[in-house]
This record gives sequence, C-alpha cells and structure tokens, in this order.
Amino acid sequence: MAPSSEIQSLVLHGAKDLRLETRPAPQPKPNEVQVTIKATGLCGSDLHYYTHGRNGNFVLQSPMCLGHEAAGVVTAVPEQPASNDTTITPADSSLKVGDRVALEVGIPCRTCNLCATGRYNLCPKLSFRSSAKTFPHADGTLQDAITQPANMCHKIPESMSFEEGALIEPLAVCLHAINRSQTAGSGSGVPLTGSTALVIGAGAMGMLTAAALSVSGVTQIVIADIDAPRLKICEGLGGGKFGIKTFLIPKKAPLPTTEENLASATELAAQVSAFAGLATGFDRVYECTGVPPCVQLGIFASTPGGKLVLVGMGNPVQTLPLGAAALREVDIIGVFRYANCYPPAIQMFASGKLAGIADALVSHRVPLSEGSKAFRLAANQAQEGEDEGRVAVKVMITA
Amino acid sequence: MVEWEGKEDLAFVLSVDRKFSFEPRTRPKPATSRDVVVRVIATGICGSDIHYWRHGAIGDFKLTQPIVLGHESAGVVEECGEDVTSLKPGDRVALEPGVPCRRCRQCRGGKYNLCADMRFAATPPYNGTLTTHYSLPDDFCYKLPKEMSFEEGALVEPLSVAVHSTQLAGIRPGNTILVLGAGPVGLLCCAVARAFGASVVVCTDIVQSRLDFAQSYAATHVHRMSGQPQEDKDALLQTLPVETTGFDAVIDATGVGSCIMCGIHALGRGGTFVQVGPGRPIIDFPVAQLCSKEGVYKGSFRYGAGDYELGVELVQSGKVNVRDLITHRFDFEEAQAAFESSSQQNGMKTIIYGYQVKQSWLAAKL
Repeated sequence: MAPSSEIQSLVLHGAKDLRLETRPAPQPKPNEVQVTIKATGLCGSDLHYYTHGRNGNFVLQSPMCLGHEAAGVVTAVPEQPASNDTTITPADSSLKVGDRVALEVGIPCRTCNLCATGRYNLCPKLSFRSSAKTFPHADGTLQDAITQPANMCHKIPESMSFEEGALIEPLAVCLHAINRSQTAGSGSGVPLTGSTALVIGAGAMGMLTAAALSVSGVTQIVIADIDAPRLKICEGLGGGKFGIKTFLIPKKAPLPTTEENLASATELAAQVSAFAGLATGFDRVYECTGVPPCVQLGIFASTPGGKLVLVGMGNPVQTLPLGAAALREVDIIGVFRYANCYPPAIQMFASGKLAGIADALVSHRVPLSEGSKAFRLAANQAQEGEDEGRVAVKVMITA
Repeated sequence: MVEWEGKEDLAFVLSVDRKFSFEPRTRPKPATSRDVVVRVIATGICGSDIHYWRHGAIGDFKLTQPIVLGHESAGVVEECGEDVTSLKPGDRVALEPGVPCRRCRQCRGGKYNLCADMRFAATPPYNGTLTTHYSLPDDFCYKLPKEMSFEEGALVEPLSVAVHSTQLAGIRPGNTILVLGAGPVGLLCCAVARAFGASVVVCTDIVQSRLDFAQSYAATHVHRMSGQPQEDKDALLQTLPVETTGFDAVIDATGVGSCIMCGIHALGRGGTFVQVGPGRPIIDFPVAQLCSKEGVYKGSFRYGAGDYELGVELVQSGKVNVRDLITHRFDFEEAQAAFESSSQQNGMKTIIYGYQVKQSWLAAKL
C-alpha cells in the first residue's frame, strides 16, 4: 500500500478538545521505518488526558496526539545506508515494506545504567508517545501513520490480527507484572504452575492478566470486581476453558474510620479466600484498580510469603495496613510499563493459546474520524445508543 | 600536565603475516556526537593480544587485514562530541573497549556483553588502543579518581573481567572459594572474591613463583597442582580450615582440562563453577559429578553493565590492588620488545606507554 503524502492526525488541544488535522506524512530517518497504523486501543491514561487535559502530575503543555497501544504495517523504509555508516546496526535495518508490526513506543536513552542492565522502562530520559511527562511531547499513534525506530517495531505473524497486535502493549504490561511477581522480593516464590492468584479489577488489564496467568499454568485464578457484566465476560474468556472464577464484590460506601474500613477489607479477604477454598490466602495478587480499599484487600488476601503486584495506578498516596504485609513477608511490588516483554507477548498470541481474547475484550471499534466517540465510549460517557448495548472494555480506533 | 605536541598520530600495527610495524595515522574525530577522543597513556598487554601475534587467529576471529592490538587502556580526554555532557577535555579515564549495538535483544535485556554486533577493540576487524588517539562513546569512559594512576586505570579492564566472573559465582560472606590459575586474571579473581567477603580463597597453579606471589597478594592458601585431578582435589579440600565436602564456588582461570576436572570434583554440593575463559574448545567433562551434586557450570564472557564502575571503586577503596601486578614497563617505541617479554611469561603484567608519553606521567596521580 503506497504511502500518501498527507495524513490525518487526531490531536488533543485540551480537555475534551480533539481535532482531526491534516499533516505531511512523516518520512523515516536512517534507523526508522514508517508504519501505517491499523489499530490503536485506548488506555486509562489516554482517557485521563482526554477528560482532564492531564494525567496526574503530567499536564498537557501543547497539542498532542494520544494513543500508544498500536499495531500496523510498514509502508516505507529508508534508502540503504552507506556501508561505512557505523550508527546503523542489523537491529535497525531488518524490516521491509509490508511487514506487520506491534509498536513499542517508549524510546530509552540506551546509555544509562538502567538501560544497560535491561531495565529500560525506568530510564529517566525515556520518551513515551502520548505522555505529557516529557516536553516536547511525543505524539501518540492516533494518526494514519508514524515513524518509529525499526528496532522498536516487533514483527507479528500473519496469524495475528492487527487488533491482537494492538493488545500486545497491554499484554506486555501484564507479562511484566507476572515477571516481577516471580523475580522481585524474597526469592522467586512458588512456581506459577500449580499456584493460586487473585486479580482485583475486571477491566481490560485485569482480564488480560487473568488470561496470561491461565496460559502460564496458574491453577486457581479468581478475578474480583464490583461490576457483574464485566465478570461475565471473564467467565467466557478462552471459551470458558481458562477456568477463571469470578467474585462479585458488594458495592459499599466507605465507612467513617480507617479501622472500620480495614476490618471490612479483612473480612472481604477472608470471603474471597474461602470462595477459592484457600485457608491462608493467595500466592500472588495482582491489583488492577489502584483504588485504596482494593489495595487493602490485596494485602489481606495474600498468603504469608506471598506477592502483591500493584498494576493499577490510583491515588499515589494511600492508607495501607503495612504491618499486615511486612510481618507476614508479603512483598509489595511496583511495576511501571514493561521491558523486554513484547517478544514473549507475541509468542503467547502466536501459540494460539489466547485465541478469542481480542473478540472478548475489544468491545467497540471506531474510525479515526470519529475519535471523540471512541473516547466517550471508553470514559463511560457515551451518548444515547452509541455503546450499542455493550459495556466498554477495550475501545479501539481501527483503520 | 600531559601535553600533546601536535605531531602526527603513530600506531603500532600487526600485519596479516604477523609482523609488527609503526605507521602514521590520521588523528580520529569523534565518531558520533556522543563520542570522545582519548589520548592513550597506558596500555596493558593481554594474552589475546599475544595470541593474535603468534597465531593470527583466536577461534573464528581471523586476522585478514592489518590490525592495531591492545585493549586494556587508560588515557586523557582531548576532544568531545557536541552532545557529550559527562566528560570534558583533560578528564582522566579508563576505557571500556567494546561498544555494543544497544538495540538487539541481548543489549536491551541487560547483557550487552553478548551483543552479536559487538565492536571490540583488537578483535578482528576492529582496531585497538596501541595507537596515539582512540575514539569511543562517552558512556564507555570511566573517570579515574585523582588518586588512581593511568597504569591502574589500564588494569581496570582485566579487573572488570574478574569482577564479572566472580559475580557469576554468587559469593556470599564467609564462603570458601577455589580459584584455578595464578595468572593475572586468576589473581584478580582471588582479590575480588576476598573483596566480596569470601573467607577462604585457595589459588592453584603449576609455577611455584606464581603461587608465591598469589599467597602474598590475595589468596589465603595456595596449592601446586600435580595434574592428577583426584589427588589435587583431596589436597585442596584438606586446605580448608573447617572440614567441608567441597568449595562453595570454583572459578577456573586456566582453561586446562585437568584443572576443570579437578575443580568440578572439588565443588561443593549445590555450588557454582564459573569458567572465565576456555583453553581447548572441547574437553572431557565429569558430567556425573555435576549432576549428583546439582552444581551449576557457568560460562563467563568479558564484562557488562556496572562491572567497570565496580572495578574502579574496588581499586579506589583499596579493596583490590592492581599496582602490584605491574612488573614490566616499556615505551611506545619498544612495543615489540614488550610483546616478546610478555609472551615469555616474564613477570605478571606488562604496560606499554602511549606515543610520546613520559614515564613520569604514569605513576603520577595527575
């Protein structure tokens, strides 16, 4: 497909102010390729920028395109570099026009110690598309085409759809969380296979985490949420063969005192453990909401020596029962995006074990020209009839 | 102060038929905006340099065009690329001579020493540091504290090999370690193992003078190998002050088959054996021993993230002494004699000064 000389970009100018603009098509530099975007999934951070013009402390300082969960097809590569150009390596020049790729959109500096030790997700100079953390802002993937370093474009097999390709990014977040739940803290814990896990929060992240855990051999997986329709989707994941058990958390208003709230969380933890037939709690808990009562639940529901991974980003300052974690050697593990997780995520999809996951998770598909509708859907602020009667799990902008 | 008189660069070149000569070279410019150009002040000779001279190849790396050898160097920054912020002209630095691609799976995964596209100085076809000026990226230069001499800075390279291998052994405080080989690398592994908290470090060799040196340098005990693995193993275990069935970790810096055989036999249950470098590419290996004691046999290759920094810190803090390993020093014009001396295993470590470098600069803490 020949690249045209102009592209459309969906640009955020301020809260709820999205504008479709025409721009010249970007041309790839010597170490880059041009990728025509076929699918971009919307993420909670995109929604924050859309709704508030900021994501926590990161405030939009200039117009910026959103979107970072993307897949597409390579539509232009640079001309052959001179053979004595030592700055171009094999990892830069292995893609050709027509290759289908999932995009890893965070570019690290590659020269600091964090990069050198493989933890490039923590690089202080990392530039991430669609984030206002650094300035100038790097535009996101809600455009017809972008240019990207070739070594950050990961080939996906023909058997994978572009929508599955766009799910690689959130799946990479899940795999990073699962990796950290094995390696971080004291020792590696029990092997995943045969272990027990609790996922708190049945959004797209919780659902993907539960699916990835199932594929990784975890025997007992419980996913908990306050929303029954989302739990229903979880039950059907993997054609029902993932064996994910669901637990409906009763919706309750917060109680007046910290002690009462913690007592309530303790009791809820006991109920979830009993539901799973576990005497002392779960080997691993993946907290995918960021909401304080859920994080508290996560601590109480961990078995002694267990691991709690904080996947959800909520209030940065929370009241938590640290003693209940520390004195039982429950490791509380933070995660930030992912490093080196795209290849295993692609392998997981390519193996066929996650067949059907895109159909289950992608609830709505919208073209770029109707971008505002996509954001309204994802923010649960859809206008009359826009949602076609389906709960929004993962909304994708597709070409 | 080190001053450059501005004449043409001179390089010490090995031809394809393995003859040395001195040749003029154009002074390099920084290869990228993040590179610096360093005036090379001191370079140590490594066994691999000797090997290319004597044999023209190491494994699959073959000499097919003239090459400048040398990769254990320290020097002074003279020019910085326009985006360099961490260094300035006049800075004294140790050079890490291997530049990875930074983008492949190994680099991104934290093991840049395993980069398939690694450009390593003095490994064909890449030129090394036995020349006047050398260009490399700013993050591969490590500032020397003012108390460290250029000679010590040059030895951070083999020290980093020891730091990397010894870390792979997983040494915990109080451990008992066996180091096979009392050459420079073996000695440095002994010193690093002591710095990491090992209580017992037994060093072996077949040359008595090397063992005597090891005993005074960093080993707690030494043993002269007989070449009979079983006998040697029994003798080694008897050196341990507290009776145990084996060493917590074994580090082999010889590559010799009978040493490796002995080392596996002397390894404790659940222990780790680190192979710092190979000798013959294929050896007889006691696999049954390894399995029954659930030992771990690890390969080690050069050095990676954090190793140079730790090396500089170990020298600066006095935990590892590299100065005492230097036994011979030659001017740049005498580089051939330096190679001949080193190849006869005279002394321990031989240093060649850079072109027009005065001897007084090296020991001085400028």
